[in-house]
Amino acid sequence: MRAAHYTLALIAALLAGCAANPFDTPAAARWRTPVELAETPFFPQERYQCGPAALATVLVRSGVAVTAEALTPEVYVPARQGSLQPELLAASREHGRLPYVIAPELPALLAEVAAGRPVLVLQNLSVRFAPVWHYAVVIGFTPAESEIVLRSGTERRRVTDAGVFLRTWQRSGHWGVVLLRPGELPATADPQRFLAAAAAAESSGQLPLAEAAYRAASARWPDEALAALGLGNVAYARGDARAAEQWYRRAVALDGGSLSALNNLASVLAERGDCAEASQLIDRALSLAGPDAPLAAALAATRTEVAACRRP
Amino acid sequence: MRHSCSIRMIAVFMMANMAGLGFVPSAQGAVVGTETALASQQRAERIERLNSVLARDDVRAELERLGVAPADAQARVAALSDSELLALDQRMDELPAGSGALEVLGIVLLVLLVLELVGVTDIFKRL
Repeated sequence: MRAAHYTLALIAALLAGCAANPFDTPAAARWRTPVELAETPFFPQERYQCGPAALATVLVRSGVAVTAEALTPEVYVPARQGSLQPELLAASREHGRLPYVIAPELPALLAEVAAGRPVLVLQNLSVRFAPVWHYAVVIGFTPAESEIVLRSGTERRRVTDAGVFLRTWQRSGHWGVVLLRPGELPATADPQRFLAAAAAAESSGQLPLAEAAYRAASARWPDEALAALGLGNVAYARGDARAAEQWYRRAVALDGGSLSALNNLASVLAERGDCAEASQLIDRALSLAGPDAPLAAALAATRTEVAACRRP
Repeated sequence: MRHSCSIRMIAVFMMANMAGLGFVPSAQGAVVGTETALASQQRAERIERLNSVLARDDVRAELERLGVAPADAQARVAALSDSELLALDQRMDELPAGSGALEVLGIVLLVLLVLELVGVTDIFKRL
């Protein structure tokens, strides 16, 4: 069993060693000309601090005046001698930029770089069972030479073989982030990924950032009920129940089976004393939801709220 | 060779993190946040996708051959945690689609692995 394991590993290594240029795959083939975002700033790294420097690189590039030193207390976790991905994302939001986690694949990374956005990537420079994690920023690529250009550690311009880069990137689950200005969409915008980024901003209380993103999503994907729900939630968090109601109505109109939209509309109507419609909506949601539905607790809470509803 | 700024740390994957979000009742009322709405929607979609794979005739036949009732497998999928569900879904995506017997074998192996983890079968102990 063990011998077979090693044999397989050896074969895999050999195959990888003579693998074709990753740029020759159909999905990556549209990128033929070299790209390099040469004006991307560079923050040479101190030991253990690649997180703050990589984040400073992409923040400055997106127009935020900041340094790696200033970011260190925000994202550096001494106990781990490094930075965690959630902290990098949270710090980006603190500085008014929406972090968008790109699809875990080379074509998405190339598309963002070609659109002028350097991509902050997490690499594992070692092997899976003894990881050596490292944050770097992809700033360019040369398809003909099968090369990726990075701001990495103490190297202003590190040129890596694309195959080698892909293996180090693959070990982090192809984790890569671009920073968006408020209301901007990424080159490779996927509705679910983009709405997840906006929703994270909403949860962390960055309402203007979340609202701008929901508006952009709503313009780009007019049928996306979650964008309307998000706009309703932002309005609700600001105390504007009227606007919230309108957005929740839009969300229900777009997706009549959305338990969240039915629930939230029922809740704002009950608060206002519109008891009959609230009751009808929450009953509809409860009849659609199974007993194991992830939102069962929220629906039950709204049912209680509606039961206590009195006309003003 | 250690990189000058190499660090050792535990990778935390955002999706798994996000999927773990529960419902937190707020003082204001019972409004569901968009992050929770998205997580619950994604969970429902993943379960549907896995169940459609489990409903395939070739997959059912292979599961039955190994003594696992497909209905049990479906019930277990619904009982998986969000991060287990995400992991299973991602592994399925990595299988060579449309490669016939190899694909079926891969799917069945993954499903059995998950069922084994939640203690439904002891196939791997018998092998």
